[in-house]
Amino acid sequence: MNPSPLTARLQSQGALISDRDGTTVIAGFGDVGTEYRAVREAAGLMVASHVMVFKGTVDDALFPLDEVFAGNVANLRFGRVLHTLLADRLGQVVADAYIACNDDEIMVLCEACRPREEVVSLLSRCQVIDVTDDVEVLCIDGPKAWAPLRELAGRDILGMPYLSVENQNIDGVPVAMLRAGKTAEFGYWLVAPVEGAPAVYDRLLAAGRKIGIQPYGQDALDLLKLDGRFFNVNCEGRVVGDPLALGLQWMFDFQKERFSGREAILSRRSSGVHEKVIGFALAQGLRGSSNGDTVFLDGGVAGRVVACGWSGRLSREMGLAIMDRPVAWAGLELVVQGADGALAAASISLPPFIPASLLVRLDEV
Amino acid sequence: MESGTALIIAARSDVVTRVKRNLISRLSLPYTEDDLHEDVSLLGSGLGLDSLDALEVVLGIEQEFGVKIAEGNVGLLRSINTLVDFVLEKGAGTPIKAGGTR
Repeated sequence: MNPSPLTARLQSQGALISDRDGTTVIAGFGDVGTEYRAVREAAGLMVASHVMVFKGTVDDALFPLDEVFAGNVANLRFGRVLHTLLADRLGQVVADAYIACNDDEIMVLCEACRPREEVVSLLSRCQVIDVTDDVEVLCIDGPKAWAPLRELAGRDILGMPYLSVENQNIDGVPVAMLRAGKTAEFGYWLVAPVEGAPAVYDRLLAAGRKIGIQPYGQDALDLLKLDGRFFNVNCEGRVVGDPLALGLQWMFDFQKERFSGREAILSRRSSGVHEKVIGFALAQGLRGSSNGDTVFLDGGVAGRVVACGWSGRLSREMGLAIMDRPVAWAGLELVVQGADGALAAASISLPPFIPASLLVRLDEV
Repeated sequence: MESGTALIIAARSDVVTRVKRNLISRLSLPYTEDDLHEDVSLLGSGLGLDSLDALEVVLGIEQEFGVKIAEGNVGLLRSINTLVDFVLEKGAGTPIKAGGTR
């Protein structure tokens, strides 16, 4: 699939490009550590070209979407956003989704671990149209993410509740702005028409210069999701598949009579989950864990690594492992069998640190 | 499994169960204990508790375990696991008997 005009422009300016399920995405800008740090300490700006966007009217699409997505879409109120999940018939994760109810429009933003055609197929009866190629999703994240938006859209944006949506105008470009994000810091997703998105991107970067905003890409986002304990559909989601083992029950309304994969998921739920994903950190100074590495507890096999990377905040390598349920607890000494030898590790509580944004009161800035 | 590991798991498991029961009961959550992953975020994404819910959680933990959570210590409410860490660090994991003694 061709890159969006903004992605192509950034590529020509040196952005590193990669492919995710046929979609061209910006992997980064050459220094993942700097990008990660910007989001944890100030703000980062990302072109989220991996996000699929669907639109419909509330009248037509609300109830059909409720019959497909795991969460209670039918109860979604005007101006609010639901964070939920799309599963396939077998109850395996397909997409992590925000569903936004904005005026009389309903908008679905999916991060998927399956090809776009499969998501389109699952939503084929939902009375929504695929507008992914017509819009650009820009994400601004960080403890100071609000600052450039306050300058461009006014002070009222500080009052936006988490998981809400409203229409804004940035330099003449109409955007739908969601207060949302997956980095554990303040986050805003801006959905702009593809032709106006470059101007919005440039204005956000210019307005954020004084607070140290940096462009960032997918590689940094993967690390931010990992140590911020946000579900990453493209890492652990793709590897594990089962939302119950992933701990995503909070994305479900189990009382609903219909959603895609319901029978399979309820069956597994009633018989009990046998594995669970938990966090681990390698001992200080150790590196070298990889996906698929075996995890040992007291000399016996206890699980395997499903995601890993360097946490700038912890200053150590950390990851997620899917463990046998009886031993899936924080506070245990583990050994990760890396390619170059055994690595001392411990299971940890997540999120493993207090995000800077949690200590900022937006009503006082 | 070695006995030391089994003891760590038993102590943690007990506190986790009590914290989950407390959350489900006080907040009328539509989930079972098994549904609540210990790392699920309590604030914002995840269970999405608001400030009143958070206060209810703090009161529940203080009563259940006989600990005091300092005002404004929102960092503790990151997840069930971070609450459990706090309780275990305070040595408050054993049940409080009638009369207030452990």
